[in-house]
Amino acid sequence: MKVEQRVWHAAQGWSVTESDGPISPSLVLFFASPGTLDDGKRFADIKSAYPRAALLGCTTGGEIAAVDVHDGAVVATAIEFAHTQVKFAEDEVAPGKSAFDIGAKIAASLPAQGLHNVFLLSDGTQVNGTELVAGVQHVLGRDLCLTGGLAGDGANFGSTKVGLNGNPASGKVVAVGFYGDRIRVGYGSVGGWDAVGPERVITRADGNTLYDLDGEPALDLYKQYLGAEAANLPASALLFPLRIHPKGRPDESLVRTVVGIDAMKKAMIFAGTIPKGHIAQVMLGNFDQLIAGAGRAAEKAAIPEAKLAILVSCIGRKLLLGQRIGDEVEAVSAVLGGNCRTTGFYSYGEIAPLENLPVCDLHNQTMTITTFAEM
Amino acid sequence: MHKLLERQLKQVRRASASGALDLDALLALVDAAYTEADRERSYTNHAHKVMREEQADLLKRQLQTTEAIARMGAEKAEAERARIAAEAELLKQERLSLLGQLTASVAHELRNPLSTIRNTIHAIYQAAQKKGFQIDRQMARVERTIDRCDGIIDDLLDYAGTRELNPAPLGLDTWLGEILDAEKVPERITVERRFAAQSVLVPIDSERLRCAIANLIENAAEAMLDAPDLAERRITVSTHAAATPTGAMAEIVIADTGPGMPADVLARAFEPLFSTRAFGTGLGLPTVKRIIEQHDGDMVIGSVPGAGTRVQIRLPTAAAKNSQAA
Repeated sequence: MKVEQRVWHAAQGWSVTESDGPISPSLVLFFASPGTLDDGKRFADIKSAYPRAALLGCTTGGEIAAVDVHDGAVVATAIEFAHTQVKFAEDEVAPGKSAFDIGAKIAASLPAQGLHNVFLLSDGTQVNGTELVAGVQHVLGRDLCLTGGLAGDGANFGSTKVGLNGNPASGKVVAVGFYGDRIRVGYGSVGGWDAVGPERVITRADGNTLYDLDGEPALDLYKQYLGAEAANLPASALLFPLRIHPKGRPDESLVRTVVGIDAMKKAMIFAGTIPKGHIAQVMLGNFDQLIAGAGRAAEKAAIPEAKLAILVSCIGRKLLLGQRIGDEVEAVSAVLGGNCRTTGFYSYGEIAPLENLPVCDLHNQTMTITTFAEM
Repeated sequence: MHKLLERQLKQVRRASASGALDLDALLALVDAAYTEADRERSYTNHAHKVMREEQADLLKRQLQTTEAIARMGAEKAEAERARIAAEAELLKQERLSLLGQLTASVAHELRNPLSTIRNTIHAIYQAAQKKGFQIDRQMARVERTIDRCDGIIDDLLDYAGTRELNPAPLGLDTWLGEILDAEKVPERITVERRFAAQSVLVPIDSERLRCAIANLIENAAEAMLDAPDLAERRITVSTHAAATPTGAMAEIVIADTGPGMPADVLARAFEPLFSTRAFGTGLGLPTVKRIIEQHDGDMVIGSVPGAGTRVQIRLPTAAAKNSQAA
């Protein structure tokens, strides 16, 4: 297994930052800052550099290459597998088609035989990630190792783009399946946020829209927490994720983050489903714990001889950590070691098994890591 | 060098086409880092303040809820106690009503044959005297037995409360003094009067209440006569007027220096047909209580073995009755 990494910056253009030598990749993952792909040139550059590889990528809230977090960059990571085959699937949002339907169609497009792992990228604002994951699991089973993330648009929550062998576009979902018996995949997904607010009952919600907590408008509650930061909604709501779990079952906690607001209805739109009747608790970040959480995710994802780690971390963590965001990537790298190349992006949602249960779901506000090795 | 500064230098050089250090760009990054830190501290402090206030409010509401639940529980328990007491009282009244009907019927059926027996025995006695037979002792025993049967019938009628009260306002102390004057108490027993309700008028059915007082005096006297080792045999009858939440009451207390009652006997003192005496009907104290209750009064017995017994009777005054009626 070989890896080569290139980074593009407006000032300096492309530069190869990591290389295991001459490479003939079957897969190139590229993560691009919003706007950098609009003229099609960066995608054409990648295609030109790796003409026989499948190109899979999305827009982001920040790009990860080695131990650096970039803004305004494009990071392309080419992967040559010695013993592993890759197959691809894609679908897109359409009227009358649910996220569950898209997930099911993607899964059905991937041959089940020999399938070891699926890595999935999805539009980040038009797709309910919970339903998408449920659709994939409906076809491929809940035991499937599924990881990935929802594309980002900086902190703007506008248009996110995803692409497979074409310049990324809005409303797309793409996946790559890894086949063969010599591939090894590890994963870890940890938040590190503190649930500090009082527990409340979700008294009114519909799909991924939250209306009321304890009978009061959720948006009012968030504005109360945010104080002066309320002027920066919805981005500032990322500073206060919501922990949700079924009543009496805190082990099944998920973290949900805001991707939009409806001021007229005093509603908040989340990246995943907000089930009515669940218990919700507002969370607050702490620099040291978030960075330690990233390290813990790396410990969970670490596998012997790992050559590549894809880091999908939440935009909310980046907004909170600010210029210290590099600390969490360094914490991951410190655990995985110098032989494991890292790439990834800041997302609007992370897909991985739960921290405490072997069941895949959509997460928010986590550092989610997928590691690859070939035996 | 601080890691953040290292990263800032790297970022500034990356943004430069030549890789040279742009000092203005570096300062802008450093300035932004300070601003970020201030912002983080500001909203974190604000959120913690809001959450602390919320927690305090929740705790307060939780406390109020707990208190409300406890209050509702106490009210429910009190209502349940009142319901049980009302049901018991209703059941008692129904039983008494039934007992009254039964007693009236039985009394009527028994009094006639008893009267016939009495007349017949008297005729036999006269015939025997004419023939010269001496049966005075046997006659006296038959008469006493018939009287006792009549007494039992009277007790039953009193307890069942079938007799209508005929109350009239009487000066309590004067009336009670006359009762005590007429009461024959054995010489070995002294009766002490401590009256302090001289001007208090109480609506009393004189004959019925006299029976009740006499019964209590006789009980006290018998209890003391049955105890051979008493240092003193004294019955103290006291009165006074008392203001209670339900109005003005007159109080009569009859206390003795007798042997007192064990707790198990005291607990059953008002239980019909319960008696510690060989020939007792067990209707004495229950009947006294019934008479007091028919006067809208109440009665409490306190007794300590070796220290005597104290009966406290409270009756509404005429003024209180008039006030209620108004």
